[in-house]
Amino acid sequence: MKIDPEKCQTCAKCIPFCPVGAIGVKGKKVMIEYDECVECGVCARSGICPDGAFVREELEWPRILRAEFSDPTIPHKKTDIAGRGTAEMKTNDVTGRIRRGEVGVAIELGRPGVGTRFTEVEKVSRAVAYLKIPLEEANPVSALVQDREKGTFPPEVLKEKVLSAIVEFKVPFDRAGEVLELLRQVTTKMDTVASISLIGRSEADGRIPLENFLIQKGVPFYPNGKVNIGLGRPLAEP
Amino acid sequence: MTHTLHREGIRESDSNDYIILAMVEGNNEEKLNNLAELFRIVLKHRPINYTGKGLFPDLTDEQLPLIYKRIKIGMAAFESRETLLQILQEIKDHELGVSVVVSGLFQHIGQDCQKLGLPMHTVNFSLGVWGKRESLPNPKVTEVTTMCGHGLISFNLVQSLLKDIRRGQKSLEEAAEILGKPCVCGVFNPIRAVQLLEKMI
Repeated sequence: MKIDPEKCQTCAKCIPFCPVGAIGVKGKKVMIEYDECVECGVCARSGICPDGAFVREELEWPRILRAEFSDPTIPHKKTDIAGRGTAEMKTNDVTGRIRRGEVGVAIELGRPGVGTRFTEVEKVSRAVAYLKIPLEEANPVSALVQDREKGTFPPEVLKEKVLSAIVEFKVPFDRAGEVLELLRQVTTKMDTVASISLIGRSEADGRIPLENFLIQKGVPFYPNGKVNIGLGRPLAEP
Repeated sequence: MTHTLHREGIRESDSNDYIILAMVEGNNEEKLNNLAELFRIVLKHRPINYTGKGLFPDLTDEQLPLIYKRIKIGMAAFESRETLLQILQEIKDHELGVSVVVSGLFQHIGQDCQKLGLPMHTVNFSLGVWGKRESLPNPKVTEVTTMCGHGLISFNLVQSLLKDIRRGQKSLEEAAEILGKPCVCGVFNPIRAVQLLEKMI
């Protein structure tokens, strides 16, 4: 995103709208700090500029990743899903992506509201690769990984900044503790935040083993969250 | 997208925050038509926010479901648990075969699923925010901003609008409306936002 200096009247009303604080005043001009801008499009969509000064450019690789990962109106090419490009548990009743005896893991780097470079995302993907855990295929971060054994991205991608990106995978239930330990270690080395989520199936009797596991291990979790209520058909697993 | 998972500060005492999401993966025409039908039911119950409200404010309740069919997903927010229960009953009765995800307090969803004879098929837990937490503002601010799962509501916008409210330049409701605009999915809850802003001034 850029600001057309001919149109901008320097009212500065747009400044607080930028989720990553990339808009500011330099000299007597309102400017977008280009390397900090994640191309989310909030400034242009907000309608706050009375002069129509925001200019959306045609983005090229690798900068296009910023828009794909930050602007939910743009679907990811890899998954054809808008937002962060993942379906995780939303359709799990019909896809069976996460089955009984498995735990789904989604680590959303940069969320909430801080943003992340792919250098930080790679810290997580490398750690996951070190444990020889395959990443979820239907996920745009996985699609970017160049070396699956090492969990590394192409070098030109690393400095790109996005609002958030989700590293996603699943493990057998008995590896959940190992994954949590790994996340404890890797998140202390990150130059950003990460919102962590775990996904689990209910048993036929309605019990949710993952909930019991978290309580037993003393891992805090929010009292609110998301539940797929099993209305999709045909069911992948009853 | 983990759209509504990491909403902060939802408590038993003040919960008025429920979201329905329905989604189809793939291009099954029958399922996509059923997705549109599902949202005809949902919109009839007057959600406080919904996908497309900000982006396409002029679209009617008949046109919106066609948008959801095209993008294969739709979301709607409600403040009333009773309304949520009614809608889920109707969706269940129509046997549309579309995946539905409900967000809210687990305790409430569990009780409501039991009433409806539905399973909590798959459950998504938030373990909160890890890593460089010192980058985050006052938690009261993130209670507002995390109502947009894509992080499109800036911390600075909340602070700026709080100043406007304190100066008498904006009402709580006006500020909540402005805050909700960046959330293109329509899962931002403006009623909860008013309550949260009121506690901050």
